[in-house]
Amino acid sequence: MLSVVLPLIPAICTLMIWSYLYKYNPVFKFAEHTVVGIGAGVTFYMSFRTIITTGVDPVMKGVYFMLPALLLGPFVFGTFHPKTRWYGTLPIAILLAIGFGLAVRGTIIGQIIDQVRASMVPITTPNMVKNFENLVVIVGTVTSLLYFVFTREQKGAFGVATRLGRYFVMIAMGTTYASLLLTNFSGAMGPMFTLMESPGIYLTAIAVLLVMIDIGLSIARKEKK
Amino acid sequence: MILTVQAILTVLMIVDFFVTNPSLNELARQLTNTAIVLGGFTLSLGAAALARFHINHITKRTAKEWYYSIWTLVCVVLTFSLGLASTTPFGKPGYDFLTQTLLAPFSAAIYAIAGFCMFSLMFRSFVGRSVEVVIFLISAFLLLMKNAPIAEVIWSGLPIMGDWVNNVPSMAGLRGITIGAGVGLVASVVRGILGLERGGLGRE
Amino acid sequence: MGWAQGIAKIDTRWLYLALLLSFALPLVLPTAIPLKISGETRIVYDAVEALPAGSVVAIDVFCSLSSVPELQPPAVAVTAHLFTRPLKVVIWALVPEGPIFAQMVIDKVKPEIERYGKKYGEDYVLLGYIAGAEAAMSALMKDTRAVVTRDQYNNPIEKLPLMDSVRGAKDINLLFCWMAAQPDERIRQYSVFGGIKWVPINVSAWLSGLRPYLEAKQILSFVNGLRGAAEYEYLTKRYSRGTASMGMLSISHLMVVGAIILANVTFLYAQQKSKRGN
Repeated sequence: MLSVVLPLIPAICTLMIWSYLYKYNPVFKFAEHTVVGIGAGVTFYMSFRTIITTGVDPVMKGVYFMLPALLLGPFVFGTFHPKTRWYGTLPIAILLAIGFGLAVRGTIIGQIIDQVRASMVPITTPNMVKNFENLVVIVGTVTSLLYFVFTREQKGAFGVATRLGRYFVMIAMGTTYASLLLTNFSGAMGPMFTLMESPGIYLTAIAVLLVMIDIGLSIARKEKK
Repeated sequence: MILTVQAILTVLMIVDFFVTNPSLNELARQLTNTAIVLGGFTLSLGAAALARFHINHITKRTAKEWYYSIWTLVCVVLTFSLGLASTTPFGKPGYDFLTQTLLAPFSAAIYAIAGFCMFSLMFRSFVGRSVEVVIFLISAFLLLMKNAPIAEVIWSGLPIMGDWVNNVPSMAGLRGITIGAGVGLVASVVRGILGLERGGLGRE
Repeated sequence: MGWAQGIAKIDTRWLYLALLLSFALPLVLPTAIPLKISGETRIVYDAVEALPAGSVVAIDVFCSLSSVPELQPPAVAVTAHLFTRPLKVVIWALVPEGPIFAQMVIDKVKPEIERYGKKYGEDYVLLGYIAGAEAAMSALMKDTRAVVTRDQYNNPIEKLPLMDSVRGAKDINLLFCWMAAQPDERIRQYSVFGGIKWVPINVSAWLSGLRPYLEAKQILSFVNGLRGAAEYEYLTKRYSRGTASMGMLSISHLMVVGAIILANVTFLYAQQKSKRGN
């Protein structure tokens, strides 16, 4: 029995969710709540496990530095009530501070200096095509940066540069949008395998039949009115 | 007081990078580990907020909602319990079933709906009303052709053009955005140190 | 109502059906389409092949289960390749669903694990989920043992021989990241501070976004989604979902291009008609 039902489950899950594409229905709502519930359960378990392995275990072995974190941590739940919200802000502030500190020291080198250095490319090499490409990179980087300067009115020569920057940003947005589309489509391809391969294809055929019956009934109802 | 603590810790973490002092470096390292434990608590905050939301529905008996909320909480408790038992032979099959057999296909199917919605959005709104939109559409088209194997069959120049657009002008635009984002992050941190950035603490 | 207006006001469900058919058609009528291997995927393949025996490869899992259809094929292709070579593999996750994804990929590469006699604890280790995102990355790069005391299966870290020789960034020769989000944190912690050569195995959403980092030599290369999976499967001769998806990828892309062209034609026609009417 299990060997028959288990392979069908991924197809059942996909069809329950994709029934939303036809119309919003209780089956989709049930599936939606199931996903949310299981996802939240996984999150709870993982956070519990992290606290035990990174917090409690070292304390049990005599490394007491984690003790303040273990004592402060539960205060985050104070954010649920206006009277206790103040208690919740301290652990969050500590977390933010450490995160900010870690982020900014890497940002200056990784996102600013290294990127600026990579933009400094030669435009006088023997290869004319490479020179042109490098010129496009330099102009594109500078003008797209200028586009985001809003403390000055974008007119005159500055306006020309920002307009060019706008075009470069639109090219970047176009490729980014296409990339995003690729991801979303790729996300649909996995479930398609589930639905088009055995044994999922039998459920797909039943689902198609049910949709056709529903369409037929709604047409019949409209004609009756 | 909280903003002062935040400022001191931020400066400490930044100074740790520039100064080689064993005590300071060890303190920074332990603080990083502390952030991991605090991260564990804040992770459960979102799940706890969700549980609170559904308990609210159940206690108020919200029409057409409360029984779904009961099911959601049953799933949360069941998954958490099986997760605790997942390192035992007893709990592992159950946890694997809930996560790999149920959660994975459900999550993938939900994410796929975004693709359908994007396709419909694109059909209705991506028309060449201005020069910028035309540039946007052309660069999107060329990137799609770079990625699709069939483009090479249609015309060998399509993937080459897609490659060029992705590697040169698009890269230049994105680099400008990346540098701008980096400068923005540094500005946010400076504001955090000065106590002007309070959004993360739930204040204006 | 004119045909242009009819198309513009078409029920959204017909669009969904058209897209579904574009996915289903290549599965019903599979066609072999030639695939050109990109330079980026080849660099990754060559980097793995060039690793000396005993090298440690780390895998950072930074994607949720919703990315399984797109990231599992390239992750399986690359991980299977790693297990065919005399390398050590350490896998950690920085998202709660990461350990589940890691386990799914390990289950898929079981044939390679058994064929090449890889032993858990000696040749590969799954460290499980570590909270804290960037803080976790920073801590892992400095001292792995201080952050992780138990693996994914609750074994104490002292009982895993592989972890005796993996203490931080200096012990890692190559790092892969199964990535569904932006790479900025990893650039900061792995590239800048860890000094590690790392390779994103990314969702296609980052196909253009990774370019600035690649040109700045902050990442070694990348394996891009399903297309990258198909290319890597071709290089390792382990054909699977990546290769099988190329038909769907091609037809769905043509469907998108056709939809944009149709939308613009109807828009221009309606514009011209209203101008003539005025």
